[in-house]
Amino acid sequence: MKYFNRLTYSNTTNHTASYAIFLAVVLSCSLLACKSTGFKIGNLDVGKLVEQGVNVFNANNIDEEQEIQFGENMSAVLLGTRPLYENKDINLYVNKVGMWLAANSSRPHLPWQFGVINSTAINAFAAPGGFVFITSGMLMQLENESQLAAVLAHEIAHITQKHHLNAIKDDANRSAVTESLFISAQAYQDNTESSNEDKGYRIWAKKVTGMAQDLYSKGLDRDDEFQADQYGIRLLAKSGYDAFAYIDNLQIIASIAADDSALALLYKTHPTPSQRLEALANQLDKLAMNDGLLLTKRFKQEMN
Amino acid sequence: MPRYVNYCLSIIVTPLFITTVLLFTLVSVNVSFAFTANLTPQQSKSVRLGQVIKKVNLLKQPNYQSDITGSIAAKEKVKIQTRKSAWYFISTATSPQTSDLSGWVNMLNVRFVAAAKREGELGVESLFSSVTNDSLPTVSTGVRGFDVDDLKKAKANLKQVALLNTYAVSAGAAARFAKQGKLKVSHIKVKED
Repeated sequence: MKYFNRLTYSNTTNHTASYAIFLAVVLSCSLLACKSTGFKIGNLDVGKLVEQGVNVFNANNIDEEQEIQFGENMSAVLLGTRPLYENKDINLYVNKVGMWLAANSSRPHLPWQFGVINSTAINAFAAPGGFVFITSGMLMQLENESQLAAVLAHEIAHITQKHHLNAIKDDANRSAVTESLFISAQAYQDNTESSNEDKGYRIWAKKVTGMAQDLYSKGLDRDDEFQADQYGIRLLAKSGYDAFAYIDNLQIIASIAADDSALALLYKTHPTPSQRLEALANQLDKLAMNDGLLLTKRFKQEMN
Repeated sequence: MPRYVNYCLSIIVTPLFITTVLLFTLVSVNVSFAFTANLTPQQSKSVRLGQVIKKVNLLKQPNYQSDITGSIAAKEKVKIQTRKSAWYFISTATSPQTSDLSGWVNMLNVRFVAAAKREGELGVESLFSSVTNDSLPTVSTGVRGFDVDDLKKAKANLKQVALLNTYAVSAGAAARFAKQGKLKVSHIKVKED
């Protein structure tokens, strides 16, 4: 922060100068062993930042704290595209369904947050670290709670399997991966002494929005989409829902005119519903004994 | 008319009038509220039109051990009446002339027939024009959309993130919610476990 700046800009007093030397020593020590020391200024892990600025970013080394911050930044762009649906009760309902599924997933401890995005597009999104979104346009296509859970389960699987981190490991994305993505706007501003209007903030925002646009326009690896279907339908069954509602959803999407603009981004970023149905076919036998619930009545009550 | 009759009438009519006005106001407020908060699908989807993707046997019960009661040729249009587990109960009676066949088929052998574009979308085609298509769409405009172009114009909205955070529920609250709905953890092996 302030001391950090003085280190590079000024030595106005002896006191400051000696402090700067002291800091320089600490900093260089931490540079030598930055992985283990975790030298921090405020929320910012300088050790990590320096390393990540120098080396090509290694997505395998992202810890959970960074993963969550990355997801929050991506969510800020998703919600900057379209805001949350205004109705609080519907958002709370989606959170309850989602949290029940997440609690049965392999990463129940993440700070799971679910939101309904106010958009006529038919789609759902996930961001690393536990952020899940469904559009109001998608919600309107559904008939019961199990179908809602099916949509959320697919997105939860993307998060538990770290599919977004997998996507940024690709060569095409790697150059765009910078430290800005893994710190909050606040931490970035604190450490660069920039304000919301400043260039510093704009650099942060540009990096974050650039990555979000890239991730959500291109979509994830197609194999990861199939895996999210496979794990999603099982998570749905495990959580006590009628797992075949998952198939219903894909049938519904398949039945909407394919050139309907509401589906444009979903089709751009996912295999076609028919391909997904075929891929799920061999999963169904294993789930044949499942007698889970649809919860149609509760869904309709909550949507009204 | 005697004056007291007139007086009595006004005693009866005035409260009636006020009540009606009040009721009407309440109803209209309620209706407008429903318009803003309602996310229910507009049309009933209880019976859907489908198409079998290959020649399938019609079964008496929703399992492969069941008796076969008939068969349906590939691409024939069917009405999907209900679903039980992985099975649809379908009938072929799409017109009065057709003989009435019905039975259970595996849901994966049926696709919903693609509907016409929804309201607000241009280029309405005949209602049951084509079965599900694998072709990729080209049109990419939409009202309140969420498209590549919309993403490009987006700015990070931290206030919305803070709002999202206020909606989060605890695992305990979710467990209580599941219990209310009689949802139970089923011991199906999840691959990721």
